[in-house]
Amino acid sequence: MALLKRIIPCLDVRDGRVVKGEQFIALKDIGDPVELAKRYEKEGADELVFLDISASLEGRDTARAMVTRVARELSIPFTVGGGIRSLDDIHRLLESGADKVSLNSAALNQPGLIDEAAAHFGSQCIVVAIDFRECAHDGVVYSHGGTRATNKNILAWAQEVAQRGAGELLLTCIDRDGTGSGFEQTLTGQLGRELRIPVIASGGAKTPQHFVDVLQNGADAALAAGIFHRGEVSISDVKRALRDKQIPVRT
Amino acid sequence: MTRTALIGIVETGAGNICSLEAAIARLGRRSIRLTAPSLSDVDQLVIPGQGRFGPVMQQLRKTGWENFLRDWIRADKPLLGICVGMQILYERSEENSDIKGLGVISERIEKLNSPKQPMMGWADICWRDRQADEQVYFVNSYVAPCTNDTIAYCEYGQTFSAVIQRGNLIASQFHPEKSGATGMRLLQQWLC
Repeated sequence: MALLKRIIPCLDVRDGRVVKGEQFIALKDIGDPVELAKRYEKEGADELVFLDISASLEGRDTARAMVTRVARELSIPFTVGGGIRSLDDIHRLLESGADKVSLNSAALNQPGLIDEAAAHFGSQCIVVAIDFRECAHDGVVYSHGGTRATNKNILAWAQEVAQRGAGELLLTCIDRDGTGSGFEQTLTGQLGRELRIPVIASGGAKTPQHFVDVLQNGADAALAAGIFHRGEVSISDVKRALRDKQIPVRT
Repeated sequence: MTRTALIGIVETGAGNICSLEAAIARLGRRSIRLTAPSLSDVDQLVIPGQGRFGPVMQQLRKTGWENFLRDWIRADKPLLGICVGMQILYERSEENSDIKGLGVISERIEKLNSPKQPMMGWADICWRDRQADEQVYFVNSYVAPCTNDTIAYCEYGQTFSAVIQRGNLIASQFHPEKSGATGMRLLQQWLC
């Protein structure tokens, strides 16, 4: 028997408020993180991801206070990512009540942080986020919110982070983000099937069928933001579509 | 007037326990963190589910909890163990095979033979005495085999104990405090 496939709403947070950027730009304030988080839990979200995109240190402190409030109210797991650079940053977020943290640029700049974090806190709370561009056909990982190409190959980097002790992979196809063209299938499916750690697909979801496609193809979980925030698709719509295709989900 | 039950959370020095505290508070109980066994008016003890078998056991040994917990369980006082808090009730674990557990249950915790590791996510559990399946959230790489104490089991790569019960001792491999409405209902049922 397999684990149930997870549907994960993602909340982009800046200075303690939820915003959603289209392709990581043009931000629009859409609400209080705790209220939104509770709403998603009620609607059947299996877990949540908060990505802190605050530019300032003050913004990050606000985000930490938000994590504490979320932990007090929520009874499903949640991950916090954005701007995490050190074991100290990780420690503070986990202490505040986050179940997992997501590393992105820091993992690229200092891969040893993955090993240290896994050794200190356990693989189960270390997620590594990998951003890539499909259109570039370069197979490389991007950093800095998807703006900078690195010299790392996606497949090799995914294997490496798993080996270093990451407990989960959050795979975002940057150029599909906010476009509604569906999840990237090829790489995401391959990594979901091949890796010994769970893979979360992200970027491009618009219809319940998009979730069916990528989860059938090997991803363990699928993440979306805008379509849920704007109420275009509900989590129960997605789960109904998955159940119709005999994909096991939480009721 | 009945007083609100006081739940003592055993400090194992591993990871955050605020989710557990918050869940207990949402259910209208009081909780207190206990670094050493000194409280007399605690109605129930909870061993939280953070950390690894060896370090948790060593911490319990150092702080005097080990013998206290054994006596507590022998006297059939209410105790709830979660995840590693369930595993340390056993004799030993493959996670740290050189360190002895509480040995209340004479079996060994074994490495989970699962497709993906750690086991992280929602899975169905089956109760031995009821038909209805329930879905709860697991985070673990090691599991307890099914025994006479098993009241619910789960299957992921292999079948293992999801919940055990022996008198007033209850323990779950999954995290009820992270298992949404189902988890809250189970906690409500399990807490004094």
